[in-house]
Order: sequence, then structure tokens, then C-alpha cells
Amino acid sequence: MRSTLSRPWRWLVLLAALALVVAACAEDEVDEPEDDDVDVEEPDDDVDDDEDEEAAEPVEGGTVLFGDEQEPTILNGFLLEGNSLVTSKVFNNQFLGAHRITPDFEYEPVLVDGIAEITEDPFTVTYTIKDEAAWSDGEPVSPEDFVFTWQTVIDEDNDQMTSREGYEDIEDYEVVDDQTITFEFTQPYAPWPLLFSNLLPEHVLEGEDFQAVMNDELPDVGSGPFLFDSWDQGSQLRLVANEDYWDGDVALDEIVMRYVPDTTTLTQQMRGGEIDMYDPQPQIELVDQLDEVSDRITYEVDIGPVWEHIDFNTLVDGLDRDYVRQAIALGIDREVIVETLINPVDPDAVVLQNPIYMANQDQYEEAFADLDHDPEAAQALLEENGCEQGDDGIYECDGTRLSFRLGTTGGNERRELAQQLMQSDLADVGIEITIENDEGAAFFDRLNTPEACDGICDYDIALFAWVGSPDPTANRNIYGCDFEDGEDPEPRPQNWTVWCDEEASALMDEAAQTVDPDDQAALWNEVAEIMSDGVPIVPLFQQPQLLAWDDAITGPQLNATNQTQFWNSADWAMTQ
Amino acid sequence: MFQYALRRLLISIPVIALATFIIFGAVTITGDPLQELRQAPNITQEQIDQIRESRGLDQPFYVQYWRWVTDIPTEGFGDYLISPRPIWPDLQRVMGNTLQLVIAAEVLAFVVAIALGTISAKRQYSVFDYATTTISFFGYSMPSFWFALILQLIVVQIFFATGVRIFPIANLSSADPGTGLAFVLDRMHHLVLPVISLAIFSIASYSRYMRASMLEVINSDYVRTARAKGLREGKITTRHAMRNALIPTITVAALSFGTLMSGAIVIETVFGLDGMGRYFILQLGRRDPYPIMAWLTVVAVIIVIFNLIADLVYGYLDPRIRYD
Repeated sequence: MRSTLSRPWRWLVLLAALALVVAACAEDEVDEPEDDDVDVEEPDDDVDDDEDEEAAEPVEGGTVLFGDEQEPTILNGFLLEGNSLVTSKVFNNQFLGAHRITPDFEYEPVLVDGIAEITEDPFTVTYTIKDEAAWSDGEPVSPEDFVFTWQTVIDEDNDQMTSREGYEDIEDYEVVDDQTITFEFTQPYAPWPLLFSNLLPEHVLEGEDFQAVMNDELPDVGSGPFLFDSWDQGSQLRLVANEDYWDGDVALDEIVMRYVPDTTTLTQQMRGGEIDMYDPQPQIELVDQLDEVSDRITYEVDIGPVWEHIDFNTLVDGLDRDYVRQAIALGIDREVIVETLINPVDPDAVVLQNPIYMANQDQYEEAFADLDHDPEAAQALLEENGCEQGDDGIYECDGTRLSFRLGTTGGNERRELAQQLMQSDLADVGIEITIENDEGAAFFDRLNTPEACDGICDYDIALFAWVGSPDPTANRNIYGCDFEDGEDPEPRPQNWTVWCDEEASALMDEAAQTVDPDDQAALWNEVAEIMSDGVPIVPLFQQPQLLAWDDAITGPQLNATNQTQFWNSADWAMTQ
Repeated sequence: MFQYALRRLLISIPVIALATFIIFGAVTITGDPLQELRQAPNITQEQIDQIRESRGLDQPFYVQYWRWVTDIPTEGFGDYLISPRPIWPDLQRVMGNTLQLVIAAEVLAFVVAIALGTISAKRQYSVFDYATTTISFFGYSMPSFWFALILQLIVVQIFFATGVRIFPIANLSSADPGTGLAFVLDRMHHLVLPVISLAIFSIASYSRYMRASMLEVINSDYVRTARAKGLREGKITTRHAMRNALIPTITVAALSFGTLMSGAIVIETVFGLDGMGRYFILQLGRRDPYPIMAWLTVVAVIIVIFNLIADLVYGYLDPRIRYD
């Protein structure tokens, strides 16, 4: 045997040499954009202003690397496993719908010519397809595509379908002409603009196994600005421009979704120019890091549809009384929570005062404003109801000491800080809060209906978030109960507070069938008012959303709704 | 030796079976895999009940376990709980990626550690020895995520200062990695930081083993005899001392290799690498018992095999070891 010591060193030298070679290759790769960046930061003296402006003009071609923490499980946005924002980011790029949701929570027609027309008795919705709307293979978007989409959703064999709500109410349809179709419903369905939010191509998917055909790939035909190209699972997903996009030219060549599960790493990638765009959960330090590179990176922050709140388990002794829940709501300084946790990221964020509508929706009313922080009022309310403060300062009401567990998803820093603020506020009122968290999603195992928990579920007060929608009809499931004569009210599947108010439930059901937007909003705001008396929950704040992009890209605009940041991807372009 | 290996493998079967049973029970009893679904807007109780029934989630966990066990021979590891996608292709993919990471890290660690350990032992109580000892303890005690983040920050700061991106700080490949040699080089380029981060602990560990066993060997009689016979010091070190001193280090490395194959969870997460550790964490969060079980079984088999390899290699390197 020759010298064994020399072999490792030979390997080391070889590795070092390889690293240098690769690094040299990498320099070549990044040289071009870097030169451009330098041009933007330090314009050449010889270049006049006009040329500078010219350089910022959108150009054809280019690839946007979009960093994302999560990766889709499957690509079919209609199925349960695809019922996520990360799937929508891909699916919505390829399959447009009748309408889309704009950043201000408004509906905007996409494939149809103006918002669809409705009649109330019988309830019908008429879609008139735009003349130019076409699939990427040249086939026009047709009424048959609407029929196919409807039939696919209601097909019982598709047992993985996320929801058939609304589609199930369609009892008949009439193809009026090549571009017009009318659906007739068995009853009014208020959230009708959310139907057909992705239209499926009948001529491509007819006869395919719908629950298998779009799991790992999408067909090469779509109506959107980008089409699926490839998916290296665990790594990246590539979308390529639809060269025959019916609504104008798509400037970019490609969008590549790069999947990295760690926000800190994604932020460093953004700062280091490895990705061009991302939309992380904004934290204070993250915004600071982006500010450091504000000469290269632009970002927008706005309050989004994900909103935090506390839920009361109204079956728990003590929390089964309205006045106790009201006192807790009055005891929490929600303003301070927002100032401490949200305003450093989004200075415009406010306390959310409505569990039905978001603060940036037109229909928003401050239903919970009466429950703004007032510790004296909270104590007075308790004392009016016969509660007495014990030696330790904690109130006791009819033999029940006001001491409750407040739980959330452990490890979520913002929620844990909010818990501590609430604990301190309520201690001042005379209500004891003990924090009892479960790590991550394990916490949600505690939340359910009494039927599923086989009794009272194991939580007192829960801090978590729901995702809002332009249409509040889904709230029927969360706050509503079914009332049968002579029987206890039955909480609906997501009514984990088990708060049952007959009037509120009736109003929710009425609102679900009220198609006039103003009338519908009035009914839901009435529900919000009732909830502010019953206090099954206390809304706290909307989570801010952030979209950051390299200045070399023009066109991105934060859309804090569940339409995702790709809502206007057709307008994105490189400027250099 | 063959009989010994066979006996060891047979004994491993009930161990793996028991491990899978306990883990299956722990996963199914402590978490509801349909929890995410229950939070979905518009989901109905009927849908949840239907899925629960069709997937057998309403059965006791031992019934579910038995169904899983009996499905393995016919359906591999089967499909994910909710989506009708097979688990095995995903596991193969992440195993391959982790294998690349672990092989590179272990080769680097082994080479560096042997060099450091040998020189430290030869120059005991020298400045080099003290420095290596200090650095080793630093490597032991340093959280790997912290070291990984520091490496990323350094690369980004170099990018700020020079406009040159020395190494990618995440992902296994570029968006367009090319094919053939270009792909291989691109992959190596992406693995540099993760490999360094993963190797640093192993270097600290192996170099201590190497130093200790080298010290023992160079003071042994046969080395003294070699010196007395007038052999060159270099030859004594490489041919007589190192060869024997390597035995415990190789054993430790073989055991460590099996463990690392279960996934360097932290490193894979920080660097966004699609490996075994990241896969496990992802599936654990989803509470889907089937991919977790598949992962566990594969990892258990790998560890059993590498433990066996460690024993066999030990016997091969040291003929005094006999297998009964």
C-alpha cells in the first residue's frame, strides 16, 4: 500500500479545484444581471436620462424565479389535496375562470363579457363568454366548457372534490348561443360569483379520470397566460408562457416556482438575487432585511384575508355565560396587540372589528367596536352579574373561578406574543389565563364539534386564524347551528365554539340565498352585531401579506385575497 | 460470516416490525390526519365522514396497522391517505438526494478528520493539537442550523460586496441545471454549503476518535519495533499505525452513515433540499400515517444494514474479531 495519508489530501485538493471551477462557472452565470444592477444603481455618466427611461421599459422574454415556502401536493385545484393557495398559484395561471378577485376584494370578469347576469325568480345566472376567449390550442372557450366543469364537480364518482356547494343547486341549463349559457338554480345562491372560478376544457378532459389526470401534471392546454411545463417534485415547478394567449401577449418566457421551506433562507435568496419574487409571512426582522436592499428590491405590504381571533368554547363552565365572554373581550387591549405585533410591519393595519367582513372590504362595519378595551367596564359587568373578586384578585362567578386556558399553535411567535399580551390584560381585570399550547398543527386536534370530541372538546379559549373570502357564505358552517323542533341545536361542522343563536343562524341562511350584494351585506352585518353580543369569538387583526420582487420586474401587484399573487401574471415583464 | 449476517438480518425483522407498530400507534392515536380538511371552507361533515370511512380511519389503530402491513407486499407502500398518489416514487427521490448529500459530507468529513486526528496525535500537546481540539469541541457544540445560516450570510455578504455569487444558498439545482456534466457540476455547486454544514460535526467527531486511537497505536509495541528496525517515520505512520487506528473511526463512520441517511433534517430544511429529513417533517405535519410509516421502515432497514456493515467491516479490518 502506498501512503494512505496522501490519498485524502489528494481528494481535498481535487474537491477544492472542483469548487473553484464551479464557482467560476457561477460567476459567468450571474455576471449579466449583476452588470445590469450596477447600471441601475450607478448610471454611467454617458447615458442620458432618456436612455435610462428606455432601460426601464418592459422587454420581451425572461424568467421569473418565484420562491415559495410550500409546494403543492397535487396540481388539481378542484380536489381536496389541491385545496391550497400553493396549488392555486399554478392552477389559476393555466385555467382562468368566469371572474377573479381583485386586490380590493371586488369581482372582475375574466372569461366572460361583464359580470354574469342574474335573475331572482327563478334564480338564474347567465354567462356570456368574451368573443376572443380561447384555449391555447385555438379552440374557443364555449358553453360546453361550463357544462363540463359543472358536471365534473357534481359527479359523485369524484369523491375527492373539495366542495360541490352551489353547483349542487344547479338543476338545469340552457345553451343560448355559441357564447352564452344560462344556469337555473333550485334556490338562490348568494356566492354565485365564486362558481366557475376555474373553467375546465371539455375537449381536453372529456373521458379522462379527473381525480388522476391532474395530480402530477396539467394538460398542455389552458386559457391562462401560463401553461404547466414540468414539475421536479421537492424542487421546482416550471410554467411557460401561453404563446397563443387570447388576451394579449405575455411578456415573460417562464415562471419557475422554487420551493424552499424556510422563510429565512428564502429571504437570503431574495437578498442575494437567487430568486426574483416571493410572498412570505412578513415578520418585523424580515421587513428590516428587505429594507437593507431597497435599491434593488420593491415590496408591498397589506392586510390580507387571513385573520386572527380567539374562539371561546361555550360549553366550558364559566365561558358558557355571555357576560364572562363579554368581559374577556372588554379586557383585551386589541389596539395594543395590533400596535405591537402588526404595525411595525404594516403601519396601516387596524383592529379587526368584524368576523364576517375584512377591514378592506366595502361591506365592512365595525360591529365589535363596542368591545374595545375597557377594563373598568369589564369588571363592572362581572360585578353586575354577582361575581366577586377573590383574595388573589381573580373573580368567582356562581362558584366558578374565572381561570381559563388559552391555547394556540406553539412555535408561532406572533401568536405567542399575542397570548402574553392578553394574559397580562386579563390579569389586570381579574381573569386568570394560563397558556397551554400544542406544537404546530397538533393544536387543531383539540378543536372540533362536541359530537366529534365525544363530549366537550379539550380547550377553553383558542387563538388561531380563518381565511376570509369576498363572499361570507362559508361562515354559516363556522357560526351556524341547525335548529330542529324539540331538539338541542346541532352545531355545524366548523362551529367549534358551539355557540348557537337561532336568530343569527336564520339570518345566515337567509343571507346565503340573498343575491343582492347590499341586502346580503346588511344581513351578514346583522349577524356580526348579534355575535358582538353573544361573543363566541373576538376578532383581533388581519395578518399582513407581503410581496417582494426584484426591480428588474415590472407589473407585480400584491393581491392579499386568495386569488394569489399571480392574479395579474400576464402583466409581468422584465425591464432589462 | 454469511451465517452471522443472515442471523443478524433475521433478528432485525421483529425489531423493525415492533418499531413500525409502535410508531403507527403513536401517529394514529395522537393526530387526526383529516384535521386540515376540517378547516377547509365549505367542507361538510358528510364528506369528512365519507373519507374517514373509506380510508378505514374509523377502525382501531391495530386494524389499520394490519391493513398497512398486509398491503406492503402487494402495493409497495401504497398511496397517500387523501390523494391517490403512490408514496414509493417520492421516497426513492428523497433517498437519492439524501444519499448524495451524505456521501459527499461523509467523504469530506472522513478525509479531513483522519488528517486532523493523525497530525494531532503525532504532534500531541502542540499548538496544532490544541487548536484542533478547540475547533473540534466548537464543531461538536455548534448548532448546525446556526452554522448553516452563517454560511448563507457570508455568501450573501460577498454577493453584496462583489456582485459574485460564490455558492447557491438553497435548492439542489439551478432552475436550468443542464444535462450530463453540466448537471453534475451544478449539483456539486449547490451541495457545497450543505455538505460543509453537515460535515463539520462529523469532522469534529471522527477526528477525536482518530486522535485517540492513533495515540494508542503509536505507543504500542509493534510500532516501537518498527522504529527500532529503522523504518522511516512516514512509513510507520501510514502503513503500520494509521491502518490499525482507522478501525474504530471506520466503525463509527459506518454507524453514522446509516443515521445520517434518515435525513439531516435541519440542514435539509435550511438549505431547502428535497431529502429524507425534509420529507419526514413535511409528512409529520400532514399527519398522514402511511408516508411516515414508509419512511420509518426504509430508515429502519438502512440503519440495520449499516449497523451490520459496521460490524462486518470491523471484523474484516481486525482479523482478531471472529463471528459466532
